[in-house]
Amino acid sequence: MADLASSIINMSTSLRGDFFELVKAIGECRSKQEEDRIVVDEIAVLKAKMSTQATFSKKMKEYLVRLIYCEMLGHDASFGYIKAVELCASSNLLQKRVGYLTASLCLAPDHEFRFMLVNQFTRDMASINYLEVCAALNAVCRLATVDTIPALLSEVTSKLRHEQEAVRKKAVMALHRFHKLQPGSIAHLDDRIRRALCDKDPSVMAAVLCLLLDLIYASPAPYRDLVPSFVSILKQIVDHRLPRDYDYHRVPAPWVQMHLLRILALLGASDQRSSEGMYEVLIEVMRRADTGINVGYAIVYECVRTVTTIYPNTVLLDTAAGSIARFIGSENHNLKYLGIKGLASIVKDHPRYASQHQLAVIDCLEDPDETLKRKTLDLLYRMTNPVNVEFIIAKLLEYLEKATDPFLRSDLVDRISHSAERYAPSTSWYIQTMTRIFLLAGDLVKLEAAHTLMQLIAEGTGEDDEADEQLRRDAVENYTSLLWDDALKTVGGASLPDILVQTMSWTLGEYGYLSKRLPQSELIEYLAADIAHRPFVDPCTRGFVVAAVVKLVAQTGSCPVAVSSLIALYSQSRNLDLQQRCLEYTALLQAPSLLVDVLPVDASCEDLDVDESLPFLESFVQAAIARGAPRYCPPPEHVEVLGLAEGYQVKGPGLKLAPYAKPAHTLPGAVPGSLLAGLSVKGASLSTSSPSSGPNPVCDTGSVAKQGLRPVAQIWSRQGAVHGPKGVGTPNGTRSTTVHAATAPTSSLGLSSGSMGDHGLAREGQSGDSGTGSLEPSRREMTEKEKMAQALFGGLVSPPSEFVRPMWGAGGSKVGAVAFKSAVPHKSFNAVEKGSPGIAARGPKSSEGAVNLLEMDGANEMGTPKVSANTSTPLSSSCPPSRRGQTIAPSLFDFGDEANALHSKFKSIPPSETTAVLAPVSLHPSHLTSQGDPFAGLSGVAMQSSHSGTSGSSQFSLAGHKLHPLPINTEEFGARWTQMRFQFPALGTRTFCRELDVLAGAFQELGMNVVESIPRTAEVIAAGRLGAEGGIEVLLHAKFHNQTGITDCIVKCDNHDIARKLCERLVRALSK
Amino acid sequence: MIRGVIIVNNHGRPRLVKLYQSVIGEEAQQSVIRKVFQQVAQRPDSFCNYLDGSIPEWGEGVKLIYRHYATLYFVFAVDQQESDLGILDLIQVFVEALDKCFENVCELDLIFHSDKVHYVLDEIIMAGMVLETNIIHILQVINDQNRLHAQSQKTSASSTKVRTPTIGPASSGRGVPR
Repeated sequence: MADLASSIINMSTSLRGDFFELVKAIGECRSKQEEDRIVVDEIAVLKAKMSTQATFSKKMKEYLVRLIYCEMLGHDASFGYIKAVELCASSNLLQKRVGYLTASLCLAPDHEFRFMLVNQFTRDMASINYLEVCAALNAVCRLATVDTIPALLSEVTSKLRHEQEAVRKKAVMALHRFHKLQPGSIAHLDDRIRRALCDKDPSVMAAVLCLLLDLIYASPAPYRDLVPSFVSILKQIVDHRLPRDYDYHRVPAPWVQMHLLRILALLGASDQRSSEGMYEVLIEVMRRADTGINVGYAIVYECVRTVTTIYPNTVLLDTAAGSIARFIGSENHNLKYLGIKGLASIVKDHPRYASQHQLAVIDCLEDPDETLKRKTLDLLYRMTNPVNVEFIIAKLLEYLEKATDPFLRSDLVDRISHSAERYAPSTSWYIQTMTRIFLLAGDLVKLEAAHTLMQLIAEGTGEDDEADEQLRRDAVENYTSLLWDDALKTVGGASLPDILVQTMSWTLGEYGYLSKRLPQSELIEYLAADIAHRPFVDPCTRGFVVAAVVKLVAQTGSCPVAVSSLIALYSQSRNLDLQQRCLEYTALLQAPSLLVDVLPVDASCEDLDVDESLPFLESFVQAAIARGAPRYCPPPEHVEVLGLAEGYQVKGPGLKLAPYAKPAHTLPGAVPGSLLAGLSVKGASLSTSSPSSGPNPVCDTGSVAKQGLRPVAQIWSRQGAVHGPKGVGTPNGTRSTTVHAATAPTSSLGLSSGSMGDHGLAREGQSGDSGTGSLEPSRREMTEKEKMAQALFGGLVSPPSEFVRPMWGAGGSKVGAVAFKSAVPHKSFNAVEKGSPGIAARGPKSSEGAVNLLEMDGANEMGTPKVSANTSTPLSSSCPPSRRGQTIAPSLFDFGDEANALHSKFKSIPPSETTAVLAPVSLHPSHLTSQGDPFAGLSGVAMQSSHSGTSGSSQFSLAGHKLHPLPINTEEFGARWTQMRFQFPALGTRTFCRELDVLAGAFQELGMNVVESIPRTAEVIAAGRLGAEGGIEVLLHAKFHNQTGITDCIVKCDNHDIARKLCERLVRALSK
Repeated sequence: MIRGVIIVNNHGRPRLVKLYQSVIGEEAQQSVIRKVFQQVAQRPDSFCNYLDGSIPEWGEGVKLIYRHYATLYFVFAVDQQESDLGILDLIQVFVEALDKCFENVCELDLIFHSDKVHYVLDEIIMAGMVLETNIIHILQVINDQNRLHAQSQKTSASSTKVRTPTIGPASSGRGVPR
């Protein structure tokens, strides 16, 4: 306390007396409530004083500072904002700055006062006092909005020529801010920006680099010509050509170097020529930066990143790997962290560098430091291959169990399901793993993953019936025991996540007869009496359970009381889907033979032949019409009818519409055009406007020919979106397009069965030719860690061609090739294998031996000592304990005496109890997939991801027809949009894009013509044509969420299959 | 991009909050500060200075980079684009600049001169981008301002004295340095 008092005397500002009292009181208070009370009092005082004081008085500045303090503590002080805005107009610069500061700290992005400040900004930017200009530019950066950019842009631009370098660089920053707010707003200033790069003052140049980095990130191509300039700037910096005062700890302008390196990484990626221009300077930078201090390592790390991103060069990669080795070996956690990160970036394309760090990586995995562990898991994910997948997935699952952070969890779930799907050693392992994920984080699993799993269970491999049967049996046993355990643990509780219950119900419904453990009757009893009555998050889940029960009933042929009461109960469900199902089942149960026909055993993979015109209803319809029922009118015509097309009559006792005469000319384009105006503004309206308007029985088109139900998505039920047309005749004829849950996942299986062979997962993991001879002249006992390391690094050190175990069998060679390709993406460049001694060098020579080696490596977990017949290279000795690089002393991370002195200089303020009340984080992960139709993503997008990115060109093609850009304008797009028959939504796709232009670029790569991209609403519309002139047209609308990269896409086409395939492809292309 | 700079003391009291990516609403802002403090404070100094913590208000992919000086945590929240070690040194630059400005900076300076602290930070980071890392340049602008401050104090003092006798061009209260 004495300490505090003495320091306050030093302050000697009587003005601050009140403020001091406030701070002291807050420092001493014991509870959050007490603090709140004090601050509320303070706000009342401020309110009273500020309203009486003249705006430009000296005290006002002081009050505003106090106001900022109150706001920082979380209290609303909006009464004072207007004073802050007024103070900005003060002629006293100090007052002006406080005004700007308060405004920029307190005003919300959409606050109306921001508009009031625009005039003040322009006035101050024109001031002759450079400090005023600086203050204004600072505030512009914080307070500009998309709407005010046009008003400010010209004045800011003119400041690029200001004589003061401080002003110039701030003007550049303001432009950068404009670019961030609205990409494209400064596109016309490209020339000025390039000129600013050559500014005579290095700090301006440094500021421009930030802006260029962002511009290049969005689209590197236009800036490739600047590579020599960047290289030469970097060279000059490294050569100490900048003034000495740019040095930081004797390293010349380190941050500028880092920015340059990042830019070079972006420009050099997949561009050999640009990359070659950088090699020399990169080596030089790495050499010079390695001075043993922190900031030097920061530069080295940037170099590593750049080296791993650009077109590869062996010498550079080796140097980078050397640096990584030193980082990982360091005692300093910060460097270790960078080392792991660096390794993760290098291991993806050059797995051979990982081998020497085995033990260090295991160390990091066991480290108590959460951050380090997390990065290590990231590294593990990147080095997953068929050999070590089991170990790595086990580790990731273990971590998932403990993790609480929602982002981390969803990330982990994505990664686990992705790697499990891609590298699964056997199908039963895959099923177990997926079940485990469902259990641990059911709410985060994408619906596609569940459907993939069901698809796998249903289809098997399609080659070996016995194995498939076994697979199903495994799955069923797995699920029955899960159910059983669950029943013991919780009675009536909701312990199983919805997605698991769905998968489980479906599997048991289809294949429950395979269970040895539970007879079907008990299974029915259990499902109907317990599971079906649980509370579920997703209302569809109960539908799954009921469907499963009825399927089982169909199989056993007897209907227990529990089932009929269950169905009776939910016939009154408020959920329409469930209600409808139950009503249908009630009807079906009365006709047992029909029931068996409708729900056949194990027929989910059979194709259904459906006549879309539903001829059997013809007589029914005719009868209805004869009784005076109105005819069905399909939606697109419906729109026209409502608009201004021909037969505009309303029958019956309706309103008389005669006074509204028809327009003299019918304008065919008018309606769709205006419709589109609505569409392009709001993405949400898109999905609702045309197709889902549904069957409107009130209108009469008079065209009997079109009377057959058109297969418009989403008409009848939620499932309809995927397979509306595939109706099955059910007793209540009018609703005959409804598809049962029994066939729900399967009808689309039928559709995608063509790609069955590709996913390959279903194949049994055993291959005939596993390990013949093998390894380990074990001179010493393996430690636990080494065992882990071996499990982990299995398969990593081999040359790429041996990556995939031949587990897929003959037919799976395609998959093998795929896995290999994506593990080592298209870089034909094959670095010299000298990097890691022993193994890598040996690879190509005796590849067969190497494969076998690897087999054993992964398979017999912890090596029984065996001597390899065909190779004498001891595996373990080739990966020595990784302390190869010299250990970096802990004193690396020091800033000299200065820092230490500084450290002790912070005097402590009197301690006080903090009793901050912790609000629980309620965050809902933004998975939107389940929002719409539950089966929308049914088609196993994830499953087929293994063959994504394999074809050299990213252009979309189907059955030999390529997708070509369709040159139409927005109006034409709108006209077509309403007429397309099928739509496929992909909502909430996580994409790599962060800018709208990148998204548009991705569409172009697919072969679409970007019709229009609207930055304001972050929407893109694109059109393409499959095949040559006159081919099938496809339309695409995407709504983009800038911050997250999440995109909602809707694909429309007249062909169901094409729409679906394109949609899947799109999702893959965007999320790669 | 730097999403925000938060200085918080060992007891979780915020000393400086500057968010470059706006967090809307006082409640949300407080919860950001709380979460940042909780996550940072429970880490021993031997751990690395990075935290892939999640602050839901900021969205995914935000990393906290922090330094602990005696009673204060300096926390920078950054996205993937920033260099990890570079930001650590940037914090150092910031602290050194503060130290030069306040001649022995202490926690109280941050409270009572929060406006000045904001100005120093404004010279280093602008709109979430690293603007200037050269301490001499940073200090120069700050000194210009201080000089102006002194000048205006003087002139305002003299102007009150002078006001009665003459109505001359004595002072406009606006100093133009250099």
